[in-house]
Amino acid sequence: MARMKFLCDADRCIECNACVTACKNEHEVPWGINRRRVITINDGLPGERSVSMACMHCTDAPCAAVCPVDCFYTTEDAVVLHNKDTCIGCGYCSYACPFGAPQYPQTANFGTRGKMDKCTYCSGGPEADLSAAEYEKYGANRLAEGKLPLCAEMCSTKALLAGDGDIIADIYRERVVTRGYGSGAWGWRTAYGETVSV
Amino acid sequence: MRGLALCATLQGMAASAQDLAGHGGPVGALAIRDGQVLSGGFDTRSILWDLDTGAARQIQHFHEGNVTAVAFLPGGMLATGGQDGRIALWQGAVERPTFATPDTNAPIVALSLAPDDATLAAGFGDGRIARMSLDDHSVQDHQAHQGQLTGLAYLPDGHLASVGDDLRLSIWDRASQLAARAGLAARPNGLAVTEGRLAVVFADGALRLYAADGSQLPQRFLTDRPLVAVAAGTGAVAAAAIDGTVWVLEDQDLSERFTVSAGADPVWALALDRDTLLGAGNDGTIRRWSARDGERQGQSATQASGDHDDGSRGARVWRACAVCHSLSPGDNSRAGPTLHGVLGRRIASAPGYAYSQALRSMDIVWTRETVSALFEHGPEVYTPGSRMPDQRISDPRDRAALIDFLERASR
Repeated sequence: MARMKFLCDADRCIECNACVTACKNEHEVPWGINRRRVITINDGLPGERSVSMACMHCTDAPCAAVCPVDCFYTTEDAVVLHNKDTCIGCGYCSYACPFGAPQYPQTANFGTRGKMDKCTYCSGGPEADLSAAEYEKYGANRLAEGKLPLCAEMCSTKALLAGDGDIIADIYRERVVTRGYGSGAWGWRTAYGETVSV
Repeated sequence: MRGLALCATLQGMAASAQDLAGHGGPVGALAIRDGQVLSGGFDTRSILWDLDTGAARQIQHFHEGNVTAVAFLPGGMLATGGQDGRIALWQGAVERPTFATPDTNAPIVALSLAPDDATLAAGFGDGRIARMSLDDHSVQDHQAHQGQLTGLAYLPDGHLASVGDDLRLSIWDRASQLAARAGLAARPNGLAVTEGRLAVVFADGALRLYAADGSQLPQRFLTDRPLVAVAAGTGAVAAAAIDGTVWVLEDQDLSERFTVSAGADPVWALALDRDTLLGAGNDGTIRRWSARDGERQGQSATQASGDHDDGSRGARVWRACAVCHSLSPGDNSRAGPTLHGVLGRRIASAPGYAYSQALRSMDIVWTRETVSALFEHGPEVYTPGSRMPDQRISDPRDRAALIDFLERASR
């Protein structure tokens, strides 16, 4: 199986937020939750860069390491998913996540944070693939349809790449060699424990 | 009365154990001052401890949900902040806070007392900062970060520093106007002030120092695992990672004073003064070391939780329940009631637990069938109005295994 990864080329992101919008639409993500967001670093200053940030589906995922109820699991494609039936909304995964991926509804009842929600790499959850129950809890399962995450598919500058980690790393290396510079695949080392060497 | 009774139990337990053991679940907030420790936990309680004896002096039970931030205030007052977004002020051994702000939709992440002792600042999960006058309790807030605020602390000059997952460090003046701003290289997870400088821990495993104008000073990569807690003491700064490792560094050059391990679980909260380092996390025990050399102080406390893992499928399913429920008689120290003797018991009838009104008005007796139905449909459907998170167990074999386990272990 492929080892699925995201790669954010901060030298290409133009902060258009199409990835954010595509994600919300595809999965009918409720108000107050953004599974993906665009962060601009050094806004208005020399060295300004934007990065599209969501769950990176880490190797040795910190969220899974700290979850007190063990609700995370990793698929054969190396996508990190969680079971909302088990999640107690404690919020500890949000402290551990390097990318601020875990989201909580802002209107949970009775003082709790509600079920955690995050990027699924467009691959649903533990329910049967492409079932109504899966869509209701986790959104669309594009991987089961043979497609890649919509955020990356929608990216007009191809700053955000999704797919087999080896292939997207090769694409990034080729870009850096061609254009002669590269500030690095943002978050790659933190998520996967390696850098994309050129 | 409930709080006082639990306090007496904890005092008896602490007399033979130097670790501060009494929280029924993860501990996420710690503060230390003048031989006293204040802690907040997922069991919805805050506890004031006497450090010398290890005794729990005061148990406070007010917040709906996790107690996420604590602070010592002038005149013996205490402050707690919770997942319910409320700031509560406590004076003396009282069962209810002397003042509390209303519920909000965002949890409190951090509390910080201003150097003039007149204002308490609170940082929220929706990026807001609120400043509360300790004189008249008036509150003024402003939007400080896009997304979650992850750290907040006053500087000695009265400016307020904050970090957030918009990857920004912001310095605010007394009028909440932006005085300085800096972009951050990774996601910050906490902020402490040491000698007028800012110590920020990051999810990329680095501890970075910043000057009061936001310019970066020395940094040090401590680990490849996320750092999730930070505290500053006299001449030192402490940082902790999700694998239980705690570093104490000299605050000038970040050279290492010592490293200790608090076990394999994450350390969510640290407190540091000249003599003592405290660390606490998922297992609910507050451990202590010498701040000078890392020597372990005291001994491991026996966990009151008990270990019911008999290797069965039901015991595996039970692990998720054990975060909030004990199986020991009368042990309501966790967020939920004890499940000792639950089968055959009427709903909301365990003595000594403050059930929600919704549960008290229901007519259910817990049997194999009703427990199975609870987890087949989930509490939101089967017991609407319950504070219990909506837990469902979709596999009927897991439900049956859990009930088999409860039949064995809850008697």
